[in-house]
Amino acid sequence: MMKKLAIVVLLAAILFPLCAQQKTVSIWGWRAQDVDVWKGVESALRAKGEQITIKYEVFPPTEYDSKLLVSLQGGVGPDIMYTRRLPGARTQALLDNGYLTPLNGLVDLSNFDAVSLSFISANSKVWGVPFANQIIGIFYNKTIFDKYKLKEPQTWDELVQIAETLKKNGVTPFFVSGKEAWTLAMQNAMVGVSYPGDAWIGKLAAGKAKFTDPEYVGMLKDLNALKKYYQKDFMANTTAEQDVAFAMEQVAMVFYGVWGNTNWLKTNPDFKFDYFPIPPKDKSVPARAYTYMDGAYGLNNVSKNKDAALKVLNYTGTKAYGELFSSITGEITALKGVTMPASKPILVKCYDKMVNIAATNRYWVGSPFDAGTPSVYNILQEDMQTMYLDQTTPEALAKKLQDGISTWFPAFKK
Amino acid sequence: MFRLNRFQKVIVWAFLLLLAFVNLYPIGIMILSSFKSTREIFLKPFNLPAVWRWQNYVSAWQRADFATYFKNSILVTAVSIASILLVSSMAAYVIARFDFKFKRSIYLYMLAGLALPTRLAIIPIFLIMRNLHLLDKLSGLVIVYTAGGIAFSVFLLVNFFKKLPHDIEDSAQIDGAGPFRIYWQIDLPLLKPALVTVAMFNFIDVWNDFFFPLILLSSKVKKTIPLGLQAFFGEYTIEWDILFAALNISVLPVLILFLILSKQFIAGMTEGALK
Amino acid sequence: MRKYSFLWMLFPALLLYTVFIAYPFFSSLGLSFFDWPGIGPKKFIGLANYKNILSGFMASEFYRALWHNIVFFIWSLILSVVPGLFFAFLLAADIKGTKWLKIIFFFPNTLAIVVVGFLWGLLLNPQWGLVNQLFRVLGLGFLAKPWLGDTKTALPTIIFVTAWRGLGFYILVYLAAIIGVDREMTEAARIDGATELQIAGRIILPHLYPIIATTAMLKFIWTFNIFDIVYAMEGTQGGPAGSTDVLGTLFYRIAFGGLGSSQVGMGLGATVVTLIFLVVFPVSIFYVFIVERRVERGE
Repeated sequence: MMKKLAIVVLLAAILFPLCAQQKTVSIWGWRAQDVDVWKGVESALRAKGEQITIKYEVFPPTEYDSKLLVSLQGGVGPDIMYTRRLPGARTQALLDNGYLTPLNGLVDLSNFDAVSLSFISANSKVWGVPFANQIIGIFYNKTIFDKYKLKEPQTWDELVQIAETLKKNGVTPFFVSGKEAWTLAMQNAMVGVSYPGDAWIGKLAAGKAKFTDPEYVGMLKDLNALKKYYQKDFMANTTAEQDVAFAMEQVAMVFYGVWGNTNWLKTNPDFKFDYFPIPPKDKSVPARAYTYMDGAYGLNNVSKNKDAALKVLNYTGTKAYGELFSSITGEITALKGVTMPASKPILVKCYDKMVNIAATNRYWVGSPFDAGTPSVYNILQEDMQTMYLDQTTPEALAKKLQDGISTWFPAFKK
Repeated sequence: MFRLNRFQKVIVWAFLLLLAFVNLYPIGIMILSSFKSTREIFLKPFNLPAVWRWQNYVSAWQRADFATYFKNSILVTAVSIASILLVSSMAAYVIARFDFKFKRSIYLYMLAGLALPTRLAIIPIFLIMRNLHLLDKLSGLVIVYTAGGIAFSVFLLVNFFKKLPHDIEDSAQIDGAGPFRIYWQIDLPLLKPALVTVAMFNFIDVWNDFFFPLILLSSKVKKTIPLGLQAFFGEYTIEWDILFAALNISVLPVLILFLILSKQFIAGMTEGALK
Repeated sequence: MRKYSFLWMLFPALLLYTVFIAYPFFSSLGLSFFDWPGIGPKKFIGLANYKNILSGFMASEFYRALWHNIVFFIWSLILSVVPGLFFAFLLAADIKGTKWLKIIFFFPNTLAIVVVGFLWGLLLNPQWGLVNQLFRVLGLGFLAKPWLGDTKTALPTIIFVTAWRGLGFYILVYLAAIIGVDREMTEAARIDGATELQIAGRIILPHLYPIIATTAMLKFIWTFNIFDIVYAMEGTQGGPAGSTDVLGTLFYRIAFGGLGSSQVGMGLGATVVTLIFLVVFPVSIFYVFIVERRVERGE
């Protein structure tokens, strides 16, 4: 008996220091595509002699924010958490409850430009390390466009013309995933930056324009009219099905984000596709791309592992990380000065658009209109569905937006 | 029960077989699709698989970490059922065998649990678990399931205890055995079939529950099968072949158990409504 | 006191039941008077939560969800009692060799509701789902619909899927009751010249009324547990456009957040619970009363 005990004590004495050096950092996020990124980070840190194990947990994107908040309340949150943007109610909730640590002085953020950082800054502090910038718009099948000698449209009417040509030839012009309400809100937002336009949204944010203005109502009407070019029964489809249909070349265009390219290429490695921003109705309005910072890595204020977590976070602020991230996920890193991999032409193109024609005003994620309840996002989620189902009119939707936002949006209140 | 002529029998059986088909068709599709490639599922939905792709199962098993989910589900279910059986049978024994003040009130109080949608209790349960530091712990789930299974199990077991003959017990009492010994050594063994029924009823509820794990658990290593399946469906949305395989994997253990113990299963689940 | 030495055996069950089942209902009532995001100090706001839900900014969502629960209850009651009785009588008619049928009928009940939801979600996919493909093959292409994507068909579809899973349970419960009817009575009727249909309708059916009432009450109570199937097939928002939102998903979103709503409102959630409880409680009491009486009589 004593002998056994002695062995146990001895073993513990040997193993304990080893265990103590081995630090585990837990990270929670909504992005399944990042699993390999964190494996890469782990081995990069190991190579630098850091004994850090990274435990990455993925939650369904629609569940993530609530699960995170509830877990943090219960004291069982992660060391590092993915956050969305500011202004934005989901990130604001983390901030208000004191779950995030300001990173100024703790993490070297010199490799990010001011715009990326602005998406996760509040009270002149930075609350997370940005990981990706996204660009949304129309992605199209190059083979189909070439076959019917179609060119990227310069105006909304040209876009409709393209759809008409495709439809006449028996090709489904658009695939829309109406079952996932958020994609319809996103579609509305990406059209908005070009159709009433960037400058108009600027006026809106200043309280000098209204959602009920003819510009916006006209856009809603045109969007609603476009649905005859969507696939049959589009209200029952999900983004997963959209990925398959687009990559299998069953449809010509999708309203989506650059992150989709990974799934498309996984489904069909030979798939040729390209991007264009939504064209404006009026040629005098410039076409703009809706871009936004996708999210950031925040540090849990009550993490017992802050040292190790900061080592991880500091690594995510290096260019080496940016290259790792872009090459594994096929998305655009938030780090500046990282060259997009030439093997992924879509990234090169989108990065170029991001730099040159990004809209400065917006009303979906990362906008002041996302900071209160009901947000533009909340209302669009439900009422884009009802509009497409002919249960509400464009005019009624515009009015609901105007009334809903007026209850809290400062510029609308007075 | 009824006297039917040949023609009537044919009609009766036609209807019965139709329902059997409606029940089995989706299951059959689920099984067949799990051996196809995603392309095949989309393009040739009614054909048999061109090649039987067993590797779908291998990739589903590995990618979803089913081993962990199974371990958790088995652990939670086994411990929950054991606890339910123990605490409920003790309580039922006391209620069935002894007389004391407020017995009827206590029994009625517990019976009320038969008719409460337990999910409505989730907010306070969540808060209690948080205070006890049992969030994201399997033991937290076990406690909830045990508590949730008590009302029905006590109700059924009281009826069974009442039906047991008293004479063996009386002679044991004369021999000086205490109440726990009588319960444990004499009554419980006689009650085995009833315990199996109660266990089966709770098995289905606990094994299949999705709601409480969704709210009380968060880390991947703690997930039970239904919750793991949900995460899997969120992650591999476009790979239908693997999704179907994962569905089958999650269903298989219950299917096997059900085929072996169908009588007990059916008894366990219908008993409550029949009483 | 030795006389009561057995009482300790009652306590574990009583304690667990009290703390985790009974107490939460009172605790919810208490919480419903507070504004509380789940952490920090609770702010007493009187009946403001009730006002918000019954006539304030939550009202339209609450009544919509409540209505969906009622629709769910009524339709799933019809879809379980009518075919349940029908098939139970068929099984009883020619009972030999039906063991396997019983197993097949009952099998879907053993599947987790999320599994059923995911399975049917794949089967009901508008383009590649087996349901629409089957309609097309059978020349019934007009029936190939976006079942889960149309506000008109989504809730009925979910009700149907729920009925598909649950039917076997009702068949077997009713079958057991039919078999339990005294043989002498049916034989006597037969000798008096009653047809088989008359025996079923006039002699046996009335004996089933109590069990039908019991299953209806249980169904009513269970209706307020509905969550998994909507969650698996339409998400926490009860899409499309809230057309399948039920009290379960509404209350989940309010209490624990969800996409779009990041506000965790434990007080508001507890208020919804208390309101649901007020609807369910009378039925629960009545049910327990009946069960108790039946047990007493059985002695």
